[in-house]
Amino acid sequence: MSFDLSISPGSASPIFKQIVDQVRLALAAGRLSEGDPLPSVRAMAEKLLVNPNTVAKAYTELAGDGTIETQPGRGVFVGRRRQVYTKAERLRRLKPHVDALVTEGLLLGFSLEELIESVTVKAAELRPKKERVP
Amino acid sequence: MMWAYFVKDVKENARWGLLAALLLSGLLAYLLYNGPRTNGSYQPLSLVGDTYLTGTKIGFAVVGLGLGLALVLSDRRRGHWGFAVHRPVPRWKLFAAKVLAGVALYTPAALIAVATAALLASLPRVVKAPFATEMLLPTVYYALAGLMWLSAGMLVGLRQARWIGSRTFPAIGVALVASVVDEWAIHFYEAALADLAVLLVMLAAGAAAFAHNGDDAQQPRPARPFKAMAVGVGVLAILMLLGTIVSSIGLMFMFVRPDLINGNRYILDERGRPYLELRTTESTARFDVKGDRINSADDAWLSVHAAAFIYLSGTDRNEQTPPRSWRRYFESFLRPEAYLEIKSSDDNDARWYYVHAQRTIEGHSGLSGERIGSIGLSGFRGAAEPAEPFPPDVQIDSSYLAGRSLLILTGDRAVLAEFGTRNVRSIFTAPDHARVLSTELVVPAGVRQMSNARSLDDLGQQVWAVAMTPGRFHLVPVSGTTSGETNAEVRAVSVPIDPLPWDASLMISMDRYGQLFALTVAPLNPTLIPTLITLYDGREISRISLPPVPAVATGGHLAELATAVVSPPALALTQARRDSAEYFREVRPPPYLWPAVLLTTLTGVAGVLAIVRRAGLGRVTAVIWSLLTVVFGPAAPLMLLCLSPRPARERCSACGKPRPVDRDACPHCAAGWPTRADPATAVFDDPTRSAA
Amino acid sequence: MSDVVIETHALTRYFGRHCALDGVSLRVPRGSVFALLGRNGSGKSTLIQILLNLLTPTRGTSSVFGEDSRRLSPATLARVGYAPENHPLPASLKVSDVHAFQRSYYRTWDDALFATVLDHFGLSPAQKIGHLSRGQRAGLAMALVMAPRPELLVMDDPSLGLDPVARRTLLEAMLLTTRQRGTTVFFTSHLLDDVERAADHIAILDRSVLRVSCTMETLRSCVKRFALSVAPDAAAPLLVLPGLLQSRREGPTLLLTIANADEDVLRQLRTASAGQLEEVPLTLEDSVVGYLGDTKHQVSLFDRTRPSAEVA
Repeated sequence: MSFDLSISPGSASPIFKQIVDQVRLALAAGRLSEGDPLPSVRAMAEKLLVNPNTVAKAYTELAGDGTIETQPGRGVFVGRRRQVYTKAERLRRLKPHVDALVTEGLLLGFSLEELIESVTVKAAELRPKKERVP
Repeated sequence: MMWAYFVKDVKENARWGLLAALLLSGLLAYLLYNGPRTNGSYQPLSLVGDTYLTGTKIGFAVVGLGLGLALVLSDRRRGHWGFAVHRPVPRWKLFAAKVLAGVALYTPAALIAVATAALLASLPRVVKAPFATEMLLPTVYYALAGLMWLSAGMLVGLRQARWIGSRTFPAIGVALVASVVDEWAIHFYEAALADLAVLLVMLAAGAAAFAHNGDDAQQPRPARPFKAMAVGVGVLAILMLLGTIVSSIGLMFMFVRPDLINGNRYILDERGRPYLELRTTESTARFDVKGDRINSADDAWLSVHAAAFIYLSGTDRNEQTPPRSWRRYFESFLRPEAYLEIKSSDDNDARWYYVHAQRTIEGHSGLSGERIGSIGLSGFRGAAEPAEPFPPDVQIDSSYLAGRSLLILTGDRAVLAEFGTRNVRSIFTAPDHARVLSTELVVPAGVRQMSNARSLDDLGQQVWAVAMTPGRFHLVPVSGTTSGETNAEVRAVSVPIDPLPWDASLMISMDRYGQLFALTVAPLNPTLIPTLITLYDGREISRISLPPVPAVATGGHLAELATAVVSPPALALTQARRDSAEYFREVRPPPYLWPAVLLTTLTGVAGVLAIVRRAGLGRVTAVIWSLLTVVFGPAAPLMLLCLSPRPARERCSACGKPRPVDRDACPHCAAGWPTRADPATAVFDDPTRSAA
Repeated sequence: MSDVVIETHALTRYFGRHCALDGVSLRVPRGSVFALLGRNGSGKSTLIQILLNLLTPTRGTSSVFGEDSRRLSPATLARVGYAPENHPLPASLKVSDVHAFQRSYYRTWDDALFATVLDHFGLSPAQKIGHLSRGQRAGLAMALVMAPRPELLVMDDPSLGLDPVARRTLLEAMLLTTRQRGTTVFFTSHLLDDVERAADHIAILDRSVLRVSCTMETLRSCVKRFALSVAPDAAAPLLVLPGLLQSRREGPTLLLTIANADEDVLRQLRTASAGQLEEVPLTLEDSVVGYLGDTKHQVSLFDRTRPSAEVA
């Protein structure tokens, strides 16, 4: 399994957020799947060269929506996907990304159709892998 | 753990120790070697020579000070302080280790230097002077004094203060103590004890400075007196120097004024009538005992044939023993040698040395450095014979004819050694085995130039010696025992004087035939009555009391006044006393002195109070320093100024007056400091709650 | 045991008339990696030196492990490792000398750790300290403070002047200390990337006054940047908003960095910008510079040096 995080300090996104996002992305892209072990907080911190508290915070956030599960004595694993958020909440969380996509796309001179097209392509890229998962 | 610190400091500063050893050894060797090379201007060289001792003193002081500074300043550099002292050990232990490291670096360097000097001086013909082990004592003493300088260097390095300011004061103070010790200490142990005291004060102040990061403020109470002493002595030293300079300027003015009387004495006419002579820089006025002035045109017949001035300070009048002349003892102990230079009266250009440790007088050729021989009570002995030591009670007085001859006292005898002729003769033996306390040669007025005389006999004039035994003056002819004109026998005279005034001028009057006929004993203390003793044929025929010699008004007041204003009252008074002695003046301080001292003291106290109030110090401090002002004069407020914290001041938000920033409560309105309202931009979360 | 390792209260220090530290009250929780930021001369080193009794405060108090800084017992001092600014070490000694020196003071000395760190920085015991590179000296300094396994590690600008490799190694070493549970790291730095990686708490000293002391997340959620289109003449009321850290104009857009923006502030912003209010992402560096910038209304050096004709 090739799962590698890369952290860039000095970006507008806090480090813990970067971890959360990248784990989620890996999951979405199928590079992580349910039951996969994740490094412990300490191991992750030393691997990324960040403060363990930061990793802990990221893990807490990930565990909060069930993305990962901590099994005492065994470690951290990718959890079973389930929706812990309401539709409204999910929409709220999606909104900034859609905003960014649409704003950036329109600014770059793409038409709405072209934007939808690119979203479709990306989703198609991700979906087949995802569908392999039982 | 102290050991580790010690090892680290020694290793870190080993190169300085090495440098110190090289510098000191080189310096001492140079001082011992340099000198005879220059022809003509002869410089006596030995372990107790002036140049050598001065150089040694300065050398050890500079090296000690430098080493102390090096040890501390390397740690006081930015950042290094943290590495040096952030250790789980009480600070005083670290400081102790540092001091030991300093000692461990300095001692070998000093020992090597002393050993070098000892080796050079003891090797025959390397140093052209006698050698006795005791002669090493001054060198050893100055080497030990280097430790005192080391401690001063450490304190100077540790304290946070301005370099041009109170930071260097401990070193200046040590310089003062060192020079005082040089001047006054008699015995080695006295000098060593004084140095030890300084060392302890410096170390105590240094330990406190070390423990408080060199910060003067907020040191614990027990440390404060040491800090005050260490810094205060420096202030005192500077002011004393200033006082001395000012008073010497004052003295210069004194001599510029021609109308000032600078001396007075009784003189006698041929019939033995006393006249008071008051001398100014330009004229001499004479008065008879009734106080009438004698026309100066008529006084040609008044002449002084011979005079001796005996002055011995600090007399123990009850014991009637010679006063302990500190200076002399110091010279005889720390400098166990006396130089007697004879330049042209000897083919060998011989130098004679009194070697105190051996009680011998030895001669060395100034040309070859070879030992010529020795002089003892029984006379001259050649180089082949061992020197004859003087008896243990020997007392060497350099005579009036310094350098040509030597008066030697032992028990009831006074012996005159003349080096030009290598002759030793007994000049006086006290009756009834009375101890001779002091002798002095009395040379006829006008006979001062002795350069060509090998011996007193060459003068062709009557020379007398005054000898004092308890309760008596003795006058004995030393040379020309018969009068040149009449061939009459010149007789020795012995008169009782009780009590014996040690501080007195002694006037001896002789008739034209060289016969002694009157003695005037005028004590320098104007409250003591001068005595005129008239003699005939060696016997006392009358003794009368004379009016006291009037006090002299000299310009010295100016000097004392100036001294009183800038330096400690005690110094001003000492100065007055010394001037009195020097210029035959009354001992009573001049009239301006006390008001001046009072004014200065009051100003000083006002200064102290102002500083105390400004720095917010306590009442006890105010009282102590006011008292110190009485003792030290203007130095005290300056010391306090150097020692007291001078915090910045800010306007009090409650009462609007300036308040020192280092105190929690405003001294005017007792308000605390306002708590700052956090601006809207502040982001604080209570860390105790958010701790992960 | 208390959860606060370092606590200062209204700590103030003057150097002559200059106030180097002005009423700083700070608490450092146990187990945190606490970064103290500020420009040169803002009082960071002064604060650290006072904490460890290397400097006497003018007024105020500070304590380490609950003990007054000015009377730290040897037992407490043994729990605190301190790496001073610039890694000062006696230049004339060898690595082995300072090793033996330092080791003798700590019962908890870990020789294996020391050797490992030394090796990691490519140091050998026989080397003379005066001949080491800056990075090597930093490594030695780290090894010296880490080997006693201190409970509190205080480091004054450890990364100053280090090359990227040495910096990374230093960061590793710093994080290594947190392996030991409850170990607190208190450090100053100018390298905000490193701070962002290593620190979970942050404090900002601006010209001797403490402006910020909080967790990293609190800072990032409290300081925000907004972009609005406002004509220059209408912007005046916005420039006195409470919490405004920095304002910058980029053409028609006004960029405002604001701390603790509450509803009231947001409303004013919205009103002023006629709804054209946008929150702009903000890096840690931007927020820190917001606090440390000389003026609220930032004009860059470029603008200052631009010929006046061009501005017009």
